[in-house]
Amino acid sequence: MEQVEDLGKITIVKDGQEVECDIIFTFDNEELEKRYIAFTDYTKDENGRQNIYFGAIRPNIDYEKLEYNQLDKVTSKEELAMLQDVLNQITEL
Amino acid sequence: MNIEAIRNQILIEEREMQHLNNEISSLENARSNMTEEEYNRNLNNINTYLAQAQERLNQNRQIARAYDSVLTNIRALNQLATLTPRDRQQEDEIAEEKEAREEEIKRMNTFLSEDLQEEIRKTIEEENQTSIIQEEQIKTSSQSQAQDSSLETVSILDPNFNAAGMTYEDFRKKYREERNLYQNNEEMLGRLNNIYSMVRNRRRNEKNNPNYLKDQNGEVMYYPGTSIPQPRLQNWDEPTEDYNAFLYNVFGKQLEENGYFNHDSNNLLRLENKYNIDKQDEVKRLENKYNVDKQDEVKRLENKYPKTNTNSNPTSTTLKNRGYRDVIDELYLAMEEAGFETLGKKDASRVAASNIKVAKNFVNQVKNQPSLFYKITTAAYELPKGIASLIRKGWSKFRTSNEQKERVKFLQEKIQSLPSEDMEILYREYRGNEITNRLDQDSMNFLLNGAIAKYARDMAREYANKNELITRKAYLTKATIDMFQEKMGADKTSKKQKASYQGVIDYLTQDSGKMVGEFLENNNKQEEYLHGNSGIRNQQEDFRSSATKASNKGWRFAKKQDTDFELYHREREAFNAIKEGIIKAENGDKQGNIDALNALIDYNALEHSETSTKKGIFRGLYSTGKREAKEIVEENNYETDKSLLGLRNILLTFAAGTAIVSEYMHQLELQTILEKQKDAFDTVGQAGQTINSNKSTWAEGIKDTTYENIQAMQDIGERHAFTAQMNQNGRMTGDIYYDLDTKYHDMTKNSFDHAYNSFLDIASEHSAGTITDTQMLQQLADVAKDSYNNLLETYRNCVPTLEEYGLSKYATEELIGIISETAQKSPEAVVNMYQSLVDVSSIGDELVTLSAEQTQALQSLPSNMLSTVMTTAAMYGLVCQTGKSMANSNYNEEAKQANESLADMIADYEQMNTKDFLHEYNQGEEIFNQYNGNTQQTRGK
Repeated sequence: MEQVEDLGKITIVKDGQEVECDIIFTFDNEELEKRYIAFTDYTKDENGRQNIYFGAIRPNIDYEKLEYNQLDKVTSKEELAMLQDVLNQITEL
Repeated sequence: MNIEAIRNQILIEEREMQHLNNEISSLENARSNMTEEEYNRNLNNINTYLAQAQERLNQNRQIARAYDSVLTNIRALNQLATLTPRDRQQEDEIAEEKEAREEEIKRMNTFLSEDLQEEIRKTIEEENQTSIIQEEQIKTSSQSQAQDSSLETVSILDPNFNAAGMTYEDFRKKYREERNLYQNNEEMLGRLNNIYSMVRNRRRNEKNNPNYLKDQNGEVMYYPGTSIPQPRLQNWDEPTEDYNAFLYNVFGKQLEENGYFNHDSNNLLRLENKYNIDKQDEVKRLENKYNVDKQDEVKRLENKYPKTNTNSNPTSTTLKNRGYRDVIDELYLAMEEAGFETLGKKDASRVAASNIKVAKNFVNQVKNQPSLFYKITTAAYELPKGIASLIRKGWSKFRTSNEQKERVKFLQEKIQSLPSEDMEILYREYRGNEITNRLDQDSMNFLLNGAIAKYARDMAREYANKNELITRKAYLTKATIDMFQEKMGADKTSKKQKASYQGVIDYLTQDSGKMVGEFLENNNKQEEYLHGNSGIRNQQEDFRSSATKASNKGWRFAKKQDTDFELYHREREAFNAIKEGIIKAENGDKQGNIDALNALIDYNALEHSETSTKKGIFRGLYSTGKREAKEIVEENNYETDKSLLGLRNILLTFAAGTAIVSEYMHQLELQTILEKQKDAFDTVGQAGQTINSNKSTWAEGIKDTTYENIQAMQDIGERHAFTAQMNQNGRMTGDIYYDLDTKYHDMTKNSFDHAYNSFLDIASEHSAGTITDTQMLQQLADVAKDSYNNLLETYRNCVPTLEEYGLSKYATEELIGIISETAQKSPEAVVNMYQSLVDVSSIGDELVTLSAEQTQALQSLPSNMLSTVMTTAAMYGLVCQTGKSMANSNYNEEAKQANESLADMIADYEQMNTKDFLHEYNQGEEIFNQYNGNTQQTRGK
């Protein structure tokens, strides 16, 4: 696990408003051939937990210059479990 | 004032107000007896008192309500304080509720005086005191009950004692009590200790027994109040029948063997007797048996159960032993041999993450916060709109890989080439609900279910075909013998001729009884394949695919579907007549053959009169009469039937389109607007009315194919069909339709927004004088065309995507099946829908051209209505497109095709004379000419 000074930002549209989010971590999955990015706008849900959004991008795309149509949503259970796993690893640092 | 006083005051004031209102009524009645001034003065007085009373009443009611509210909330808070949250979520919920209630109390207290608040506090205190006392009373009474009960339980030494009927702690307590009791009685103490040891050892062994349920700490879990262990839970990959077998054959047996249900003292005695008496002799005997004769015994066993070679063909197992699991295992084996991986990747840990990079500021943030403080949010954001629209770019590709398609294709081919014996096994045993950790289990389920349905259909068809031949022969035979019987009855016929005719009749009918018997057997088998436990019709409950696509050839028989008892009774009588004829024939009575034949014809005629069929769009012939028609099936292949393909595409479009229209069509509002601005609306209004009037027809035609139905398709998908062709991540195919629908909604919403915003821009430019009328109209027309093109492009993008999936045939059949099933509920509606499509297509083009008045009228619409009209304009442009293509199809022609059918033959038999009938079916002439005036016998020919 590598700690990086800055992973950049990404703009999303939430509830009709454009919001700039910080990219907080990224990782790859070679089997699925995808790169995942996690980003947050530091908002919290109704239970006080910070919202983290995820997207997946195809290989050979430089995620630091990500364009809108290069980000896929992540919905499969296995991938979500993997994401949770990575988040757990980070919080255990 | 205390609360009781306040409540009393409320009652007083209510009565006061009632009195004042009565006074007003009296005043009105007496108005004519007083001057206007007097009347007004009195009225004002009463109204003043009334107002004051009302105010007081309101205040007191408010106080009373606040009092009740505070009391209720405090009680609720006390209740919450006793709850132990089971997880973080519940903890949050409790905290939230607590906060809300405390706020409410605070708010309500502003209406309450100090005295009232104090009163509330006292009330709560008293309530708490009462509950404590009650709890203690319950406690003491239960303790005394427990004490009483302990005196009533049997002693450990009692033959009926069963330690398993109490918890282990209670047993130990009881043991200690009785040990104290018998401390001076060595014999009793010995027995006591033996029983205690037995129970203790049993308990120790339980911990190592994998068949018993354990908690997180590895401790055995018992049934409440006992020391009987509970069975382990069903494993996630364990079929239910195996688990049931485990429960009955293993777990239950172990409970019995370990004496949980036997009285422990008796159990001990039994065990002691078993192993004490002759123990050593028994041991020696057993040792001798297995030591001395061991090699011989081993050889004997090896000869009896020879080892199978590893290379042996698995199909060498006998049909009796071969089950559906064997068939499925072989399919997976074939996949493995072909190089496909078959084990599922269910564990997320196997899907490993690499190259993890973390932003330092996030690391710092999380240092003191566990992962529970973060929530993974999957669907709460969208991509920025301004960069490019979804409409033009389409959507991201669904995640299918070539490998996945190849896997499924391979499986499909393997399944299609299964021998009929295996198909029979699958048909009998497989239920399509296997759960394993194997990859493509869902695909396997889906493909097998489809193959089984096809197999059942094929088998049903086989028997139906046999029966068709039998029936033809029956009718022809009957016609022939009728002809000869007629001749026999004629005056001019000599005895010799009669004898020869009789000989012919005997010859022709010698096997009729047997043939009719065969007919019944075939019918039963066909019935079973269609309607039995695993029959198509029952599977059809799940599949709804076009299982009974009938050809134009068909003949009618019956399955009891409704409760026409009279018909049923007549059927039974006819059926019995058939059976009587068969039995007679079997017993050597020639007349029995003729009776059986006649009875079959009669039965068939009976059924024929009660059945009717209609040709459906996808289903071909289907039943509309009292009796269901059982068809000889020939599959219609969608991929070659262009008209069906066209209609299918329309229906697919409508599946989404109806969702759009039904969601955004404000029928009543539109009607109101149209009524108010009839003249101004002109073309738009007319189009709207046509659209409106046709909408219900379309809605009838695809009644429930809205978003909810698409959701329902997901449910069906969970059971079988739609999960087939998805990627390795096991994403359900039902998501296809969910995604489709989501995309449709997204697309239409974007289309609305785009069209509406464009319209507003155009209208404002026009009103500011920046653009002329002509320019405005042109731009409006462009907007409408734009929306229409977007929809068209979506339609074009959507349908191929559906077909892209490896098993598109099955998937689209499913969808079609569901849509057509809906359509079949009102088959006329589908025809009307088609017709209305044609109607709309004639006016659709006009929608893109608007006059100035029409624009003004549009501008005055409420915004939601406006968006509706704009979208409907686009929608109907799409409808026009498909309607036009529909009009060019050959659907109507195909429906008119008439083929020779057995049904026609039956109908002709009933109507024609014998000679013409035989002539029509090219059989009779030969026989007729041969035997007309010819006395030669034909027996043995």
